[in-house]
Amino acid sequence: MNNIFKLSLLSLAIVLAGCDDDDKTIEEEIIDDPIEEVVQGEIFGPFTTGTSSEPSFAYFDLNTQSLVTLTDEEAATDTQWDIAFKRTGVYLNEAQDTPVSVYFTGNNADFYDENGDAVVNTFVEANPDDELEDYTAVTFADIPADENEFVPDVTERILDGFYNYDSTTHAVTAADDKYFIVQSDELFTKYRATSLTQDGYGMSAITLAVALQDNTTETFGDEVEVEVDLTSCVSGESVYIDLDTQSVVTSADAFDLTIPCLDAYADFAIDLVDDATAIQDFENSYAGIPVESASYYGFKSNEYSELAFAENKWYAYNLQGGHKLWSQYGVYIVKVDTQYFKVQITSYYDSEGTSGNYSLRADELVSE
Amino acid sequence: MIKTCRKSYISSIFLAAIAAPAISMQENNPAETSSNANIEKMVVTGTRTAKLLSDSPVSVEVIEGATIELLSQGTLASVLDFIPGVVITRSAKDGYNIQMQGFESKHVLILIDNLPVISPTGSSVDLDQISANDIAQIEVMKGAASVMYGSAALGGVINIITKKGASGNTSISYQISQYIDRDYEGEAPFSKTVKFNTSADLLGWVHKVNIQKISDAGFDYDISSVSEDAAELDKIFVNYSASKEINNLITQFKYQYFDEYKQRDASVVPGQSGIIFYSSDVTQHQFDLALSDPSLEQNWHTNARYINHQETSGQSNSIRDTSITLTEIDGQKVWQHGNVNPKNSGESGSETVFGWLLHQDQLDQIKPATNSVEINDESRNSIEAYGQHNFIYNNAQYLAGFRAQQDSDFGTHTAFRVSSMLDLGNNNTAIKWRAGLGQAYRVPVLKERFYVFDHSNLGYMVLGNEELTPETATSLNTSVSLRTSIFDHFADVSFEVSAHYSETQDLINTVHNAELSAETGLDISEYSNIDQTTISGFNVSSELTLDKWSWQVNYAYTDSEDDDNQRLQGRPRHQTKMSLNYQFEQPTINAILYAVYQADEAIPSSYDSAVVTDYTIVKFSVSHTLTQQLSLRYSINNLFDEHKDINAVNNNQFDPRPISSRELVFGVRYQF
Repeated sequence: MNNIFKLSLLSLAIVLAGCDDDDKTIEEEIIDDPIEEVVQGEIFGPFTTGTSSEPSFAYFDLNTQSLVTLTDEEAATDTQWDIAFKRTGVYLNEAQDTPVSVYFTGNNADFYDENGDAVVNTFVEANPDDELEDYTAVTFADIPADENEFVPDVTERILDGFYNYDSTTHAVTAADDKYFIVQSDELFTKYRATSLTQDGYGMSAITLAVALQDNTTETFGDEVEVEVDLTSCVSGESVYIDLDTQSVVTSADAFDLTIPCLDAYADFAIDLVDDATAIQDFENSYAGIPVESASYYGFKSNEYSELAFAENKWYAYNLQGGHKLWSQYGVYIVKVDTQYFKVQITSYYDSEGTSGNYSLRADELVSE
Repeated sequence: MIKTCRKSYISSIFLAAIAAPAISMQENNPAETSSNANIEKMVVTGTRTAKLLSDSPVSVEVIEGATIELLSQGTLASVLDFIPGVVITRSAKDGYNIQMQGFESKHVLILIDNLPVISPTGSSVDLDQISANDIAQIEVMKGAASVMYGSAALGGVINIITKKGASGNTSISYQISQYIDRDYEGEAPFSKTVKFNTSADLLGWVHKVNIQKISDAGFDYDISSVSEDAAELDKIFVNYSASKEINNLITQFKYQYFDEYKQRDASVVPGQSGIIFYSSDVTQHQFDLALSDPSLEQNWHTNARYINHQETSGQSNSIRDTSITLTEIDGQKVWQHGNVNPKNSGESGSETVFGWLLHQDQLDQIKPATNSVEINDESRNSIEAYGQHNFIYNNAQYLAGFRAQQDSDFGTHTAFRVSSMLDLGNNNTAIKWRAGLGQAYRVPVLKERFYVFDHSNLGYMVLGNEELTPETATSLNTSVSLRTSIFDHFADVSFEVSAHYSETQDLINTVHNAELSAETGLDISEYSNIDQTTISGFNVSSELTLDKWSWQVNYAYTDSEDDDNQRLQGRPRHQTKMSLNYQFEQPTINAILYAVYQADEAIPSSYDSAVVTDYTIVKFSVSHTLTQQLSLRYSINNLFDEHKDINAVNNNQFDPRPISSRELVFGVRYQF
C-alpha cells in the first residue's frame, strides 16, 4: 500500500513538473515583452585574478556585462573585451580600432580630506548598497564634451625620444639633450645620442655618448663616445651595444641595447635588453643614482604600459592595518568606440575575504 | 620580593637536595636572617647550580610561588609584569610578549626548568601559552647569558621552575571574572578558570596531575563596530608527572597537553557582507624526561624535552597551518673543590660546571587555501657545550664561563662571560657588589631564513634570507646591593642600584629589497642583518620588610637607539613599579597592591601623535584562607581602568596603554 502511495506521488510530481515546464514556456512568451526594464547597478563578480603566486587576468566585456575567456596571447589582439583586471591593476583594451579610454567622474570627494588623504571611516563604513545612489546618479549628461578627457592605456618604449623629427623637412637628427639612464646588474649607465645619420626612413649611423656610474661615489663619470655603424645591417638582425664596456659587441657577448636592422640601415629605434631597466632623464637632472634607493626612481623595462586607471586609483590601501584594499566607489566612464559605460568597482574580495577577486557595477550610458 | 616562604614549596625533592649545602651556609649568616626572612630564596639560574640568592655571583631576581598564585590563576602573562624592569606587551596574535632591559621578546630566553619552550611566532614566546599553575618560583637573570643558556639570551633569561615532588593534597579551584568597561548584548559575559591539582604516592612513584581550563570572554568596547578588541578564548592545560628517587637517583617524567582556541572579528570584507575574523587553534604536546643525582659526590643531571606544536591561525581569509617541533637533550655535571661555603679568611673553594646540549627544531608552514608553502619543513640542528668555573672565597666570588655551539647552518659560535661578586659588608649589613661582562648571540630562527610570505595580490611580499648570520651582543651589568636589619630586627631593609650597557650587532629585521622590488613591481621586504643598537639604563630598587608588611619600589631607566641615533620603538624610557604586600595569620590573609607606571615610549613615525605618553596600571589581589580547606581570592586588575582609546588607530594616534579594561576577579579554592 505504501509503495502504491509513493508511486502515485512520484507520478503526480512528474506530471506537475511537466506542467511547470509548459507554464514556464508560456511565462517566457508573456515576459518576452518589447518593453525592457533597464536595471542599473547590478553587481557582477567576484571575478578571480588568480592567486598571489599565480596571478591572472580577468577580461570583461562591458557590452555583454560578462567575462571573456582568453589567454593573454589571445587578449593582446582580441577586440571583444574592454576592461581587464589583474592584481590591483585595471587595464583597458588597446587592440580595438579606437583604444578603450576612461574618464573619472570624481564623484567620491567625500572619501578624501582637503589634503587628499583618505578619510578612514568613510572608506571603512562604505558599502555597495550605500554607494549605489552615487552610481545611479551618473548619467549620460555626465559624459564630458571634450573627448580629450578620456585617457587610454598607452604602451610606451622607455628608450624612445633619442631623435628629433622635423615634420616640415622630415629630417631626423639626434636629440643630444635627451639622456637615458640604464640599470643593469646594479650598474648604472647614462647615455644620449650625440649624432645620427639619416638614411631615408632609417639611420645608417648613430653615436652614443656613454657615461658609467662609479657606485662608490654614485656619480656618472666622463662620457665616452660609441660610434655605431649601421650600414652593414641585415633585415631581421640587430646591432648590439654593451654600455658597461662602452662598445659595440656581438650577440654572443653581454649587451644592454639592441638596434633592429633593416637592409643596409636600421630603424629609428633602440631596444633595451630584457634584464635591464631604464628611465628617461630628459632634463639631465641626475648626476648619479643612489644604489640603495634606485627602486624609487621608476626604472622601467623596454616596453611598459601607462594605465589610465592608475591616474585615479580605485582603492585605498592598508587604512586600518591588515593590508586591505578598500574601494573609493568613484564612478568611471569608459568609452568603447562610440559607446559609454559607467563602471564602479565595489570590491577586491570574494565573500570569504580572499583578495584578488573583483566585483563591479557596469552599465551603458544612453541618452534619454 | 615578597616573602611568602612559610608555605613555600621550595623544599621539594630536587631543589632541597641540591640546595642542602647552601642552606647550611645561610643558617650561619646572621646578616641574611631577620624576623621575617625565615628561609632565604634559593636560585639555580645564575650559575646553573643551587645557591642562596644572596650568594649568587650573578644577580638574580625571584618571584616566589605563593606570590605567583596571588597574582594570577591563569597564565604567565599576568605574572611577569611584576618583575622590575620588565615590560609586557600584547602581540598582534592576541598573545603576550616580554621586554627586558630594553631588549625585545625574541632576545629574552624563556625557559621552563632550564629548557626552552616553543616560540609560536617563530621567535617570541607567547606568555599566554604558559600556565601559571604549579610553579615553584620564577627566576630572572638580566643581561647577556648565552654562556650558560645559548641562543637568544641577549637581554636575559626567565627560568620558570616548576614544583617538584608532591604535597599529597587534592584541590579544586574556580575563578570567575568580568571586564567592567566593555560593551555587550544580553547578559554580561564572565571569564572562568577551573583548576584541579592532585598528587599521590603510588608504587613508589610520586604522581601528580594538574588540569587548568580557562575560558576568557574577551571584550569589545564598541559592539556596534565589527572589530572586536580582544579575542574570546578557551584553553586547557593538562600536566602529568611521575617521579621516583632511588639511591639519590631521581627520575622524573612529565607530559603537558595544551590546547587553545581564540577568535575575534577583525573587519568586514571590504565591499562584501562577510566578516574577516582572526582565529588561532593550537594543540601542543610536551614530553620531559629528567634524570639527576644531586648528591655532592655525583651532582649531575640530564634532561630531554620534545615539544610538538600544531597551529592553525591567521585572518579567516589567510589561514595558515604551522607545525613546529623542538627536541633538546642536555646534560650537566658539577664538581666542587675545597670549601664552597667559606666563612673565614683564608678559606676557599671552587665549583666547576660542565654541560652539553643537543638541539633540533623544525618548522613547516603552508596556506591551505592556495596550497602555497611558506616554510618548507625546514630544520636546524646544533650541538653545544659549556663550562664555567666559580672561585669562591669568604668575601668574594669570581666566575668565568665559555660556550661553543656548532650549528648545522651557521658553523661555530662562542660566547664568554666573566662575573664577580665582592662582599663588602659585615655581620650586620650585607653589601654585595656584582659585575658581569658577557657575550650573547641569537641564531636566526627558521622563519627568518626560509619564510615566503606572498601577498602579491596586495602588492607586497616578505621573504626569508638564508644568508643571515647570528645576532650578537656584548653587555656589561653591575649592581650594588645592601641589606640590613633595623630597629633590632624589627624590619629588613634592602637597596639595590644596578646599571647595564649593551651593544648589539647584526640584529635581524625586515628591510625593503630595492632590487627585487624593482624586478617584480612589488614591495618586497627581506630579513637582513642590518641593525646595530646600543641599550643602556639603570635601576634603583628598595624593599622594606616588616613582620606582616613588605613594601617594594623600583625605578628603571632604559635608553635604546640604533646606529642612526633613532630610539627603538615600543620601549618606555621610564618605568616605576611599586608593590605593597600584607600577610596576616589570623585570619590568614595575603594581599598585594602593586602599580606599574610607564612613560616616554618612542612614538612610531607612522603615527601623527600619541593619546598619552605615560600611564599607571594598578592591580590589587587578596587571598583569604577561611579554613584549612577553603580559601577565597579577590582581585581587581587595572583598578583605574587605563586602557587603549579605541578611536586612536582611526585617528592615527599612538596609544601605549594595554588593551584590557578593569577586571573584577573572584575565586574559591577547596583543598580536600
